[in-house]
Amino acid sequence: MLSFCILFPALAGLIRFAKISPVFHPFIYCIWIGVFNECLSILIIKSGHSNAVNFNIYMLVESFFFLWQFKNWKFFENHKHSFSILLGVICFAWLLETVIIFKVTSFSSYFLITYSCMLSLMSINLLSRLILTERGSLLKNPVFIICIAFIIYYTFSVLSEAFWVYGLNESKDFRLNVSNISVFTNLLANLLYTFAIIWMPNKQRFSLPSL
Amino acid sequence: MDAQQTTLFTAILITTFFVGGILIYFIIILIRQQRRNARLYRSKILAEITTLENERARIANDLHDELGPLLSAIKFKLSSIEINNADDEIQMEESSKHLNDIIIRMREISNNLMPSSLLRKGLVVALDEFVRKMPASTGLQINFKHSNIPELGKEKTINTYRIVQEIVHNTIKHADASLLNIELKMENGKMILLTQDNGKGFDYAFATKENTGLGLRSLLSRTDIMNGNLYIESNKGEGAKYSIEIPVK
Repeated sequence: MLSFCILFPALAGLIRFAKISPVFHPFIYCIWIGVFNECLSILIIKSGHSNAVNFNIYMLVESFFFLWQFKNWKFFENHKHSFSILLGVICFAWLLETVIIFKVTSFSSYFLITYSCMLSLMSINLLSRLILTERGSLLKNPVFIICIAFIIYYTFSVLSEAFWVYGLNESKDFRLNVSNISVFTNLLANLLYTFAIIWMPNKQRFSLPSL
Repeated sequence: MDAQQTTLFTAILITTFFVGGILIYFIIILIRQQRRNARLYRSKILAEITTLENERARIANDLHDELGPLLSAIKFKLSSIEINNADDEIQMEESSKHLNDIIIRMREISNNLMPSSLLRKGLVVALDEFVRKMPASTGLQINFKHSNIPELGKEKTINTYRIVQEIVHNTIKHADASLLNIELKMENGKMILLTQDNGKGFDYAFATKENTGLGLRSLLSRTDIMNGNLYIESNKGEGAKYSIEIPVK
């Protein structure tokens, strides 16, 4: 049930969507798609099937939306081709794992690890710019809160996925215990997303060209 | 879980807590560094703006108190000279006219540098005066509305005045607008300055990326040192809307 904590940011986004700056819209869309994916996963699992297919597709869609969000935060401003290159790399990595090497019906762990590392590094990069340009309180800055949530959630995703990939998934108890860590980081990330949505400004704040 | 799995899980937990600890430390360091940066930036901008304003006030005073009386004395002396020659009289009249123009222009410059009404009568009166004195030749009609603006400190008064001045000058120079609405009001303990013109607007993304001029930077610096927020909404052909929130306390 804790995986449904994504409903908190989804509801906050629903309430505030019309008021917040369009810059943050990709993030909100992504949260809503996350809710849809959670519901779909529950239905598929209850019907006795694996949710690997929708999970893999969701990962790809999520990565597109987060890249779009970073683009809106002017992350690619100084390197115009980086956005297209990263988009290409994501598509290639996804196709390579889910279509060419393995099947779409198995969880694409390598893609998740690659994508999580990429998102964590991009978040760290954005934070380093933010501390130079932000003059107000960082704790009320939605970009800061979202980046921190990304770093926390995706760093632990890499850890738990790495344990998963390297054959430590034999015992059910062991798997449950490891996945419990992810559940708590997921809860923390969703709470941070909710705070970030609450602090999202109504209008685009003017900042210096460096961010 | 068997013994080996328990040991592995303990190792995972330790790693998790270790990484978690590093992340928390990283966040704390980031926040401290950002606060230090913001403090340094503010003190630097404050020093620059204070120096600029002091210099402006000094030049305005020098013009008004030293050059002004001197020019008035010259004018008085010129008018007391008796001239019999008609050509000389024409020359004298022209010189007196030039001298009058110089005195008027000098007062305008002195007033632009530091309006005497700004510190004596406050922001609203000074802005009202500034808007009224805007020459018709600019082709810009300015409407100024205000409601319940409390007494602000000297720095906030000067900075808000300069922001309005900058916006008006930007509108005249770049916006190609015929109407500019300026509104000052209080909302939730903050003074809100709203301006909206009907000009050609600008591409916000392009302006923030390419702008290397002093106009927008000056607006931002002055807003920053007042702990305020500056919002700009503009698109090509849709005019420009500035919204500045300044905490009063």
